[in-house]
Amino acid sequence: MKIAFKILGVVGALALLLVSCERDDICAESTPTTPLLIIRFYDAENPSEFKAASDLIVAEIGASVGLLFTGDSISIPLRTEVDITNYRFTINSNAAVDDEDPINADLIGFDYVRTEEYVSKACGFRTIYSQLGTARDGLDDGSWIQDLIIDNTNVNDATAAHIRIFH
Amino acid sequence: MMQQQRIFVFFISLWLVLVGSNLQAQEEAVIIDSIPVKTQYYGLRLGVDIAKPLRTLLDDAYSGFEVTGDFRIRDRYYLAAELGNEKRTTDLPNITTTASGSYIKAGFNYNAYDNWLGMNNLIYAGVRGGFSTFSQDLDSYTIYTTTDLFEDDTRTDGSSFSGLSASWLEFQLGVQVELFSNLYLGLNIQLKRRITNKEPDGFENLYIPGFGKTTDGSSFGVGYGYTISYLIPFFKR
Repeated sequence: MKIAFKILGVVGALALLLVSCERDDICAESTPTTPLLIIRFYDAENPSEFKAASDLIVAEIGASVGLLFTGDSISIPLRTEVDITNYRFTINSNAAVDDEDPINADLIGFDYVRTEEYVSKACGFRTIYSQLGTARDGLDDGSWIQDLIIDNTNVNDATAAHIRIFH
Repeated sequence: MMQQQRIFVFFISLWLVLVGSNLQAQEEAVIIDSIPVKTQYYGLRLGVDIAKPLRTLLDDAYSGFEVTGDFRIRDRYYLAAELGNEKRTTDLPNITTTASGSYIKAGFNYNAYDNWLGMNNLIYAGVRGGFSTFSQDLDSYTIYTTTDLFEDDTRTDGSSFSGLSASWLEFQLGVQVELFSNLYLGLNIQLKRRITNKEPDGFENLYIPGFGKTTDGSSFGVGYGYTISYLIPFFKR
């Protein structure tokens, strides 16, 4: 009989162990979730060459914080609760007044159709975008963006550029 | 909360084991002194899982109950079944969902314990087939993004998915100890493997009543049972 009680104890301890050792569900970084819009910058004079957009600040119109980029490839988020995201692209944001490459802001509005997808227990849901379109405004200081080409109207992964901007 | 609850359940187990040992020690003394007349009982043992109502009281996100039964058909074999109902809210960082439904498990237990004459305890291994029908409410969810440029996009429009079902194969290890005459305390652990799983469109089953919580990329589940049951003896052998 004593043995039965010992086993009862061991089984109880095992049960507790099993229940408390279930793994936590954390969304892995490698899991494809809501994709970012990838833009690459090209030289307008030599359209096959990349050209970095120096000190580029991308911020939502009216927003006080934005994202700062220096390279020729940027990834920016699109809003998941509305069908349009309006950004202000400010190039040479660090330039002095009499600089050779002056500060210049252009507006780009991105419009799209949203679809929600279930990803996993840990990550939850994501939004993918299709029928991507853009609208541009050079504002008073003129347009630093000379041309914009949409290569992929479906933003559902983060593997290749969706948009090319020539400047 | 869960941790406290587990500790609580653990101490109750410990207490019952200790109190049980004392009672049993006295009983053994009596048996040794007297001529053993009791033999093996065959009958229907009916019980309830006491961990589930306890958890219902302690955990706001859970409610459930389960009735259990077994019937001895051979010296070492028992037909066994569990019938229950559970409602459980799963609160994850990006999803809050509530599953609610009923389940049945049926199979048999094999008693590996060699009882002394007059004792009727079990240390058993059991197999069950389990089936659950349930519904799932998506209470709220947040669109997962890798940016903190925008505020969280949390939706509470709440879809409801009904007509869901799942089946599984379950392996149990457990004990049934006679505390008093015909009154048994049982404890078991359960390892389960899902066989079928009817999931909602555009979502998945995060909790299956009777099976327990599901894990990404795995069809296994675990559980435990903690029962008080009463044996209605039909005949002795």
